[in-house]
Amino acid sequence: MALKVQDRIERRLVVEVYIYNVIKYLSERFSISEKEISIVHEPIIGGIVPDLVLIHNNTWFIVEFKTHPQPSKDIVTIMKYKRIIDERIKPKMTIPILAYVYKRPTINAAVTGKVKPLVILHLAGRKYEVLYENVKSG
Amino acid sequence: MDEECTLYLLDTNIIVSAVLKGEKIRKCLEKCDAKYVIHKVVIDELIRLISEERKFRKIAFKIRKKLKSGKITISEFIRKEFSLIAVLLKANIQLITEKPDEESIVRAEKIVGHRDPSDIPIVAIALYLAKNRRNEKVCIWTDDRDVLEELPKKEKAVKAVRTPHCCN
Repeated sequence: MALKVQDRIERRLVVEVYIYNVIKYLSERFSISEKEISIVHEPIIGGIVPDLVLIHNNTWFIVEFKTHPQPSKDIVTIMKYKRIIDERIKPKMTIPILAYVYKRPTINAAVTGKVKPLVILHLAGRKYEVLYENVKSG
Repeated sequence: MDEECTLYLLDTNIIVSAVLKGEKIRKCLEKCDAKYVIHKVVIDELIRLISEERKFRKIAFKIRKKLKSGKITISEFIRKEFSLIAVLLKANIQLITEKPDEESIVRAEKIVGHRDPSDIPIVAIALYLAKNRRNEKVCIWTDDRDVLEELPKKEKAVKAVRTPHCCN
């Protein structure tokens, strides 16, 4: 019990430090002003708790921060989050973003299975690197 | 108490222990007349987690189990909780909201990233505090082995100390 609470708090601190990089990605990639983004930490939706949801113009960016990469498993989880949010909230568009902190996973077609929409970022310092990006919904 | 340290940044494991179980940490806070800082995000999250129905049920179950087994009486339990509130009120704890800068994050990544990236934020915050509060010797109070082992190897500006630092 104590360990799980601790893990959740540590994750929240990771989000606090690295949220900047994800917002930077959104503003550079989608030309969104930082001021136009609504930030929701750990919303509880249909039994799931994503780390972060960034909302712009009814497009939901679901962000999961990962410090121990397991891309195949992580993709399944975040796509499940997308499905639940689509069913319950019905936003105009939902884009899942996996954000790997410091440790850089190997991402290839075998791992992603060309899933869409999905963005995979690697975050370090104040920078981001796009490891995979397919934002056209399918 | 570590004579070098003037400002203790409390790591997540210490806060969770103090609130949920640790008699030892409560005693440290009571005994040590030092300055403590906690990041506001940590406290916000802790309050949020404890107020979650599912988490609360787990905590309540553990308390009921303890009471049932006779390990603790209800009056002892209430006394302990009131004493925790008093200890926390008395302790010189300050909430901080500072976000570490790029230099502190990059440095923290180099120090502890290879062991556990989850520890990067606490080290980055400590480095940022050390940079901006030059009259203080900043120490991270933690029981995390990765931080305790890696920090002294690579960084002099910030020290990591474990729980018994002021309990002996």
